[in-house]
Amino acid sequence: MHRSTRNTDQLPGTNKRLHAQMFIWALAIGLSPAPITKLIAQSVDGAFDGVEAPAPAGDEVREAELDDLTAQIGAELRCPICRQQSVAESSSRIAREMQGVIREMLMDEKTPEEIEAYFVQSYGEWILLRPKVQGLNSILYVLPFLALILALVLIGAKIGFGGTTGIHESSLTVSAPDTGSTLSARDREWLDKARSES
Amino acid sequence: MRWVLPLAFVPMLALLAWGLTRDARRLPSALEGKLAPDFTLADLYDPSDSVSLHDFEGKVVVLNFWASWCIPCITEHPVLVKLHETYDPEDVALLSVLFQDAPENGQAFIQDLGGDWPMVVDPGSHTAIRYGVYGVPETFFIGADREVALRHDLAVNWDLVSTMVDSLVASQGTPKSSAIESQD
Amino acid sequence: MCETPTSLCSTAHKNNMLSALGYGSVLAALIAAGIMALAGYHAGLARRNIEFAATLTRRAAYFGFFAMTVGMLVMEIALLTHDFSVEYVARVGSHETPTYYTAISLWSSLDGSILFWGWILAGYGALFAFTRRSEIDAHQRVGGRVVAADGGLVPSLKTTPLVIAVIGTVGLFFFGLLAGPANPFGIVSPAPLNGPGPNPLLQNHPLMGLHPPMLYFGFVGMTVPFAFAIAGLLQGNIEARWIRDSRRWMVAAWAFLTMGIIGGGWWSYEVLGWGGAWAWDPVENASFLPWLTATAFLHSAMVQKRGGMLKTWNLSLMIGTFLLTLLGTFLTRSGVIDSVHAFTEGVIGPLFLGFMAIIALGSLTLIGWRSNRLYTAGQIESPVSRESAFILNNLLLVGFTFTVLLGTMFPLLIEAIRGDRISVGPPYFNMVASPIGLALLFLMGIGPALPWRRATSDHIKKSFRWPILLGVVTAIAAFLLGMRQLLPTITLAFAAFVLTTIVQEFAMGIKARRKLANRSFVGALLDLFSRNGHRYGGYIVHVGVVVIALAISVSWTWKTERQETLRAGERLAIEDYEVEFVEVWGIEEPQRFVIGATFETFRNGKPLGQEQPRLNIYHRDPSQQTIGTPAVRSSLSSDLYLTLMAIDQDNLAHATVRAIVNPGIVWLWIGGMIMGIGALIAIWPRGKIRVRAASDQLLADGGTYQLPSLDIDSSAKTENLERTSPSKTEKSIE
Repeated sequence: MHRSTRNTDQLPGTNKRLHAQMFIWALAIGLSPAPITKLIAQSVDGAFDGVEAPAPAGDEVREAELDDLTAQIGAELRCPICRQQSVAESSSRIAREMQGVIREMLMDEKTPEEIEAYFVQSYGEWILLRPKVQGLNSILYVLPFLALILALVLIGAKIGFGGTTGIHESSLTVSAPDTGSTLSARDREWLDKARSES
Repeated sequence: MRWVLPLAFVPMLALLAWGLTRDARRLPSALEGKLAPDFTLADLYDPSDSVSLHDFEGKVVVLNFWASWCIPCITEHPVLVKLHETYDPEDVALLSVLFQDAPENGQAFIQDLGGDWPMVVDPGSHTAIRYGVYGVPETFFIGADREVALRHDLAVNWDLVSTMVDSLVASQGTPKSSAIESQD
Repeated sequence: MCETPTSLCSTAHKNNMLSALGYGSVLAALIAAGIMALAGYHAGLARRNIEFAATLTRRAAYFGFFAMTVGMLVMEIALLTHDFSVEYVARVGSHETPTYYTAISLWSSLDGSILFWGWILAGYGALFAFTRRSEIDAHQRVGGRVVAADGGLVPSLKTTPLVIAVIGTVGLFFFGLLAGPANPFGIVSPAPLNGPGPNPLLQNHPLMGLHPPMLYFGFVGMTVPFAFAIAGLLQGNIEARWIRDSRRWMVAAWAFLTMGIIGGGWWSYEVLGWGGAWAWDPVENASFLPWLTATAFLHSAMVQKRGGMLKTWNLSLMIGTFLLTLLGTFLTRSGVIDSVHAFTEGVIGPLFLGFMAIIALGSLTLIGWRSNRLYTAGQIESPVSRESAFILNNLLLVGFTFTVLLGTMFPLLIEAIRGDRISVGPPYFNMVASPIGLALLFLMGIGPALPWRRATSDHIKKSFRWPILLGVVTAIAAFLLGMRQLLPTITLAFAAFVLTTIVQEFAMGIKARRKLANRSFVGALLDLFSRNGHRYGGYIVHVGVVVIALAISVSWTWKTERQETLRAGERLAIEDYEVEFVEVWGIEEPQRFVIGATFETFRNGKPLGQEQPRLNIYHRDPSQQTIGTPAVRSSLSSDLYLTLMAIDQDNLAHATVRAIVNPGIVWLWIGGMIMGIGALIAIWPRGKIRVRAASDQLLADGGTYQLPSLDIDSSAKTENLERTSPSKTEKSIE
């Protein structure tokens, strides 16, 4: 039995550079969701910025485009009676009727924002599945990032970014014998007993 | 750090306690305090005949969404009948809109339970959606100034109806001349 | 007074004995819980009469379980014999419901589910007492008196009764509910002749027999680690054996919770008809939150086990997980947040809230009072180490928890402040979950490959060479094969990265094992599982997670949908499937009327068979709503999912069907099963625990060197530690 090789000359607290690196590394990873989130929001959920009403091209192409756009807009609206489901997903009659209204408004050359506003006007803000980023609602979008940064700061402080950590030791647990490379007699006795009992 | 998890619970518990004091299932109406949107719908019995909201300009309007398959609608129907009989049609208009149902079913319903005030059908639920209807029955109490005073999303009872209508009739001012909001 | 308006009430009194017996057993369990608490706290905190109190505590736990089992059986009998004089049966039973669904209606709603919860809680208490039954005997054999002989012995003797005491305290609340406001054994007189049956949604699929029990075993199971935490705080001492034991219970509860959540997704997919498995519904989220914090604990516990660090953080996690469990059940029962799962229960909501407040404030106080005594000197030496990876893992998981919690509570918050009602739905949650999920996926490939304490740059190069290479190659290959969407490409690359890391770990472990003990390949693999179950079982769990991540990514991106009204013989074409309408039909069943449509399905021209999506109307359902049942044809590559939207009611001449093609979604359930297998490997009981305890004991107290494990069965040979790479050293210690 022997110690594993450990460089005892390297005292904790002198590696501030490493700690600083780690902190920045973690901060970068932690903040990266921000641009990725925007990317994802645009590529997957179909944010409405830059989405225009479909061009009046050939009939079939237009039909498919209208279908897609209806589904996209429908995915952002809540089916009024089915709680968390969107209008696009729900099979209830009101959802299908709302889809019909969306489609008609699209054929009427209305923009997605206008359609969204129409439903908000009729039902209220709760018809939107993703709260508009305005006023108090922005808490929802900002707080997760703030919490993340706060957590990183706290972790950095605790881990010793800046020096040695706490020195208290548990008063009841057996303190590790720093020199003992063998089991103490007491431990060996306990081990023998345990082994014989198992 | 160690405080974080249990500590975050305290304000949340307060919020939840507050949450217990109200009913989460009922949704608020976006139209209360706003002008009632105008509409034109076909009559329940005669598809060539149509009824519009602006036909009742200057009167208090009780707008009721209903369906033959809706059980609370059966319960509240006598209240509507009583409303129609109690108030002068010159002052108070009652208008029923059929929701997600076939006209034949609506007609059979009326045949069983009575009622001879204006009734219309709403195919595709365009008007219902415009009014933010999410179930039946829903009743809108609209003042003579075309403002929606109250949206009630359960079956109405006589106390509620009489109180609302009386107060709306009493506060009747001069009707606005160009107050009609065109249908979107 | 009659319960149901549509049934005739019988004036003849039914036998009330079942009610009395059931209620009596609940009361007995309540008393048992009280004894568990009193005796347990005494044994744990006092100085005299410890053995007697400890034995009493254990016996009370056994008795409590016995009492609750009687209560459960009584309720099942009442349900199956349709004894409507028992209140719960009168509310959820009916003659027409098939036997299977009657049997499982025990947990379908309201008080029955609390009865089920209480039974499981009593079961965990008894099981825990049972696993520690030889403890006291061992002490008596050693000395007869309980003395402070060895740090590893005395605290554990006092820990067990304390843990049972805390379980008993929680039991007091739940059994108290059962004895009071949530009494399922109330007497209904005169007893009605029939009942409304369970909620139609809960009668539609046999999976309902699996999902709630798994979930409850998971939720209730979180009580045990919580009890460990409180016991540790009360004693002011967290020893090595504590972290190992509490972690085992946590893994077991976590495994059940994982199965329950994935089972719930599967149920949702097969039953609800919208083609998806997860809707970020508030109650779904509430089951996800404790899962996240429990997962965080599983990882940070390893850091504590290795170096004694993060003790108070782990305590926090255990307590937080339990509180989140309570929150979940509160949200389901209080109607505070509108959800498809929720049912209101009057006074039960405020009572739960009060209980949560007591637990939260009580544990806060305990942590504040005791945490200074638990602080251990520990150091994260290097940012490139497994400790750092695990800390980052915890950060992400707890951050995820916070974000989902915020989103779930946000409508409530806004309504309280502004009075407006808003919704926070899947678009928001998917948006925030994606980056966090991807980051966690990536981290899964890093953590296991890094050694403890610090990694040399050589080691990093060697460990990550292949994973990074394969990850990049996969991404390029995907691009070349036509994949243009960003999200699935990243997921795929990360998946390759992680899987390569895992394969590497297994390869190294097997190689070492073969060289050392001269084992065959299979033997070496089995050795890895049996000797280092936590580690290698954990890797299997990671594989399951990767599979799930891929399944989610693929099915989300390439899901397609079409809806058409078809006449007989007409076909709907979607992807490589075709659906041809045959006919509409209706069947009268005892408990419901079923309308169905038959469709012939084809794939690439080849016939697959018939599918029959249905609409059900349950006779005794007061609202008479139409419950749709989708028809799902699964294959490893994709699912064809058919929902019947409408039929021509007059002539039955046409039907409107919605067809969804869900690629790869079967892998979600497969991935879940892989996770379950991994968890099973991790907690499989092994006989080497007691011997390792000593070495771990010293490790946990801040010791920085590593002792070899002592093999009981292989002639107590100590293992040779002459190895070059630091990462291999600790493999044998796990």
